[in-house]
Amino acid sequence: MRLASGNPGCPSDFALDRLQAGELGEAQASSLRQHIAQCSPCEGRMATRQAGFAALVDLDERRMLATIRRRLDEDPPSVRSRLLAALRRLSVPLVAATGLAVLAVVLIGRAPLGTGRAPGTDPGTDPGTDPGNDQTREKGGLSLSVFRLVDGHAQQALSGDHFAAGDRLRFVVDLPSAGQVAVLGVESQGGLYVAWPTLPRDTQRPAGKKQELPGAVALDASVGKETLYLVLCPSSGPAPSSACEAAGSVDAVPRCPRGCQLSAFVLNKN
Amino acid sequence: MATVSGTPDIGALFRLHGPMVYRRALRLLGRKEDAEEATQEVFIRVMRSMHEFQGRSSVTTWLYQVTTNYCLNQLRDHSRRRQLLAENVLREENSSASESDLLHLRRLLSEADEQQARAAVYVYLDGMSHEEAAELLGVSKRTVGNFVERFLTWARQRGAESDRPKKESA
Repeated sequence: MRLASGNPGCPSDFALDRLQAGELGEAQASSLRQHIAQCSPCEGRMATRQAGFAALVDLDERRMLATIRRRLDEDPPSVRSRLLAALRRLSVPLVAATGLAVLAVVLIGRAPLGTGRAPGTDPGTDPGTDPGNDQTREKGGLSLSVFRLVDGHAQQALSGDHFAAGDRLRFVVDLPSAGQVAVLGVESQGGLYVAWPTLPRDTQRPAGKKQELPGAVALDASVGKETLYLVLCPSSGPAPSSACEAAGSVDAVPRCPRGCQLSAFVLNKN
Repeated sequence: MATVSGTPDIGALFRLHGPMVYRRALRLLGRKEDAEEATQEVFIRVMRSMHEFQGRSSVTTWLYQVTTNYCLNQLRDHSRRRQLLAENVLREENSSASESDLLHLRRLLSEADEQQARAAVYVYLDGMSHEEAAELLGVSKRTVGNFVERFLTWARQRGAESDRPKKESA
């Protein structure tokens, strides 16, 4: 029994996949095309490749891509959390407790030395850091969930999803501590705007999970990538909606006062 | 946080190569839900290790390697092995091979030596020439031949001789 696709003497799936991807030299590509033109099974195999996801009718590629994007957004455990977890496993409690205390002092003092700043950490220490370099997301930390209103129902969107002009969004936030809240947007050109609150509101919020921010915002007609930032600033300082400044590009974290924390959500508008 | 600056657009990469990775995972794993999960995992791994790729090989070659390694690891997973042994009905689609032969090959792959299993996948399942398999495995054509021969010898010892896969063309 032959397991490979095609007839004996036909090119491998690997060869056809490379042809489809445009990765073969002209001579090899030409030779393959000649074979395909004269071979019905290979013609079908190639047509399947050219059809892309359209040939895989049961597959929801948008959902798959959204899952991939969401997983990519979920950063791997930080060095800090791995070290702490390892220390917790130590058999001598006294040693572990001492080590944790020393480590916490060292790490807190040297937070910018890591591979990136975690969402929910103080951007005031390094306001220009690229959000793409973030490597940690602390469990139970600052989090922004975005819901799209469709036919009167709210559907949760994923960071990286595609949005259209007129889409109405609502925000639900997890706050690790009480403070002043705003949702800021960074346009594809780098400009900063306030997505929430759009009306004068009390932006003070207590600590807690799944807090819905009242009201909805409608997306304008501009296209391209935009990044929303949930900003949580100390209650005693200036309001984040007025105190944060644009950092110049869509991938740059807004500059906010020291002590503020940020969490990002990417919109692809088309 | 959502995208890593300087890396390719995941959407474009997924649309171009996603169907290939999915088809390949489906043939190796045999179940749509497993193939879907494998496809997502492959792209996540690829995007996270993009810095290791730059200029090393073609994207297709790299994706073949990552997909093969991931799927073989899945087959070798203990719970999956038990499942394979218990499985009577396959849901393989659009395959030129009989479902029982594919199931039999998967059972063998779940227990075979890792290098030999990879060579067997490339040669028997993908229909690659030894030259193509050598490129993906990073070994000589002769070594590919050795891997495949050892795989067959081992499969015979496992009592698989009567159903063993035959490569009809090199």
